[in-house]
Amino acid sequence: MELLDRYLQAVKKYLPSRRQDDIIAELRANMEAQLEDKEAELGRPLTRIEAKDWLKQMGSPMIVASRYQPQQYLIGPALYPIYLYVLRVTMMLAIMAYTIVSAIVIVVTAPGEASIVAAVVRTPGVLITAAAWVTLAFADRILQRLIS
Amino acid sequence: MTLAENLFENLRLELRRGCLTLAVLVQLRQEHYGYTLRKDLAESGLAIDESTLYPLLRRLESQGLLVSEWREEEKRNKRFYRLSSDGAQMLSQLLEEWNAINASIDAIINRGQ
Repeated sequence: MELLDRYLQAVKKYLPSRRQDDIIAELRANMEAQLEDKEAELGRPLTRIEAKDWLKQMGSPMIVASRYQPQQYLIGPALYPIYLYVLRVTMMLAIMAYTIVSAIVIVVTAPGEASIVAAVVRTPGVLITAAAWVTLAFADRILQRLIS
Repeated sequence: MTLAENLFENLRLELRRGCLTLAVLVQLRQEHYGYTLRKDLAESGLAIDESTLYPLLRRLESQGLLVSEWREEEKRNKRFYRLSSDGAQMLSQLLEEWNAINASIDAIINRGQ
């Protein structure tokens, strides 16, 4: 069935390439057997709408594919509280350091409204960079294994 | 869904997770492929989503509790699973645990009455 093919194709897209053919072949065999049963019960092929409903019931392709993989975390549950704490401290230090440095730079080089505004405008960028470094450090899988 | 219904659903899923594994292992003392296994379990009153059961089979196989082979049946290639000898050993341990838990829960309920 064309709809089933498209559904399986969509699931396949989200599976790791090493296992995808095997998983899809198995899923296809199971689903085709189920479809045959359904059609035998009805005594006719499914209509397009019925087929769509059936596939909808199976769940979205992305979710179906995700079930074949172990749960994955960027930052595991064991590390998460420490991550939040370090993130908070880092953000505070970053904003303090940035404020002091900016103030000195402004006073020494170009006092005036324009340079203050420029420094304030740059603040979100500085914070995002600091947060990104902390996240990268924590996302390290090796670190997670050492702790667990 | 209300908050209480949501909570119930979460607790139910948690409770069911281990039971499903046990039911699958018991059922696979006989060979099955995914779909007939699902049908048999549903007929016994234990309906499992496809997207839960099929990945579970693979996980149990990778843990060495099941063995599988591709074989043709009714002109279609299917992957048949059955309990491995390690799986059989594990199953008898798990069933003991299951019975112990049930007995304890019963005892606790009856004491409370």
